Amino acid sequence: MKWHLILAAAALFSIACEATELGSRQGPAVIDASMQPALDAEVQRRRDIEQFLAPIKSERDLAEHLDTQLGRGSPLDRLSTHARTRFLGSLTFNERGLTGYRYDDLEAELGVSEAFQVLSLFGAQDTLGTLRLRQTTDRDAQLQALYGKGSEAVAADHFNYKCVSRATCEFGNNFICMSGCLTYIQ
Amino acid sequence: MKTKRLAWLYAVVAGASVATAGPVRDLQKDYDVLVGVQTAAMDRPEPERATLIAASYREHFQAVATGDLQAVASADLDLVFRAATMAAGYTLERAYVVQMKAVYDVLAARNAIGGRHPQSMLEAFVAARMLEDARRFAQATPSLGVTLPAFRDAAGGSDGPMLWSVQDQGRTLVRQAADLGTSAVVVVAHPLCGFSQAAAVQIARDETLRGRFAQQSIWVLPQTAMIDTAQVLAWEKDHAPFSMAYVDRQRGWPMIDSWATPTFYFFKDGRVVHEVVGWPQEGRKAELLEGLAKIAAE
Repeated sequence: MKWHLILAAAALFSIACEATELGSRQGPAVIDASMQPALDAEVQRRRDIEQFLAPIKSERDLAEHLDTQLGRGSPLDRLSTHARTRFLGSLTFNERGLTGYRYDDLEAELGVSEAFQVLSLFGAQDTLGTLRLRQTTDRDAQLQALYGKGSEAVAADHFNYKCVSRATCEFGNNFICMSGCLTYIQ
Repeated sequence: MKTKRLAWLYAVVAGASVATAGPVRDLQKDYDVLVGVQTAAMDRPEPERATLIAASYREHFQAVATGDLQAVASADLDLVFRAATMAAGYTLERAYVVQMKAVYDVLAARNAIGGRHPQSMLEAFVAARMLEDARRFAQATPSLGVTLPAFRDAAGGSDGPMLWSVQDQGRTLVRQAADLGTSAVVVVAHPLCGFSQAAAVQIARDETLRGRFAQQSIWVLPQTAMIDTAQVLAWEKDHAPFSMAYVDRQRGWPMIDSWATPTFYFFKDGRVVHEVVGWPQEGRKAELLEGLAKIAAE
């Protein structure tokens, strides 16, 4: 029930913000319809909102988060030092936010809820359904069901691939190349 | 500048292994090194990338992977499994898949298997074209929820460029020689790659390109792609009139130097005469037309 309310609120929010904030602060969404991968429009909209509201949308935001939050309750605290360093070192951003990340340490060290919280920092919680995470609580199971169900709609997240600088996807073991990467290599 | 970077990369591979050698290994540090090599190698040509990653794996993990696995803690075994997965993924060599499986079996015996382990194992079997192993593994691991298609070899022991074509509504894959004729366009693509999708959409919409590509192009998935025939059938439906098949072994296609998607290889009499890499927003129509002109019948 709570999730439905959140999604409904998010949809209403999108109507209000689309023409103003997204447009004026980040420029209009630059994904041409013909360039759009197989991503359901509703899912894309949800992802746009999640990314827009995410606290970390750039390397600068990340540095600020690490300065002020790490060791003080950041979701990233749940990763071991080695795993956190590897994960953070893998992040790629464009002007709209996160475009790709390394997933193996998340899968190895985090449960579903913990990974959800980490990915939510970047507005990338929508990729949760593609990960193979530990389920130890009821909330884990609920989250996995919620995000796993829509995973076919976010098939444009290319598992084990990396977006590279020649407008191509290349095999990249342990990487997820998110659908948003399409907009940054222009 | 490039030479300097390359020298640094080889130094990392060689030097770090010396630094971590000793009676007690910190496999987290070893994994850091392997990940560092992987990251640094991403802008190297693919064969060199595979060589560097495999060398780092052998330096840091192979002795553990082929040693007394019972003496290794499960957390460390997991790192060895992940490292072997990386070596297998980039080299596509079966020896690393065998090492993965040895580690997997010990983790399974300890009940230390998570959802990601069987999935990685299956993907590695498929990528290394150990297809019967893959089928047996999938059957023995119902939690995967994967039913692989039947594999039928219509090409015998031939080593040339081979494809697995999707037949019987996705229930069968048939291995056969790629028909490159006197001229053809081989498009390395992936249904989940946004750039590949964009290329297919724009080419199909373009009146000049559509007919030529319908007649002459073969869209192929790299060996690293997981076999999912439903995905290919859906792609073919969305991108008619083009069809897509799986490459068998990439080593049977030595004329292809990059398996990034999409890449367009224009073949004339069995030789690549033109190559177009990637699909930016504005497309690459002029380059494609140039390639088509080069392979046009005289």
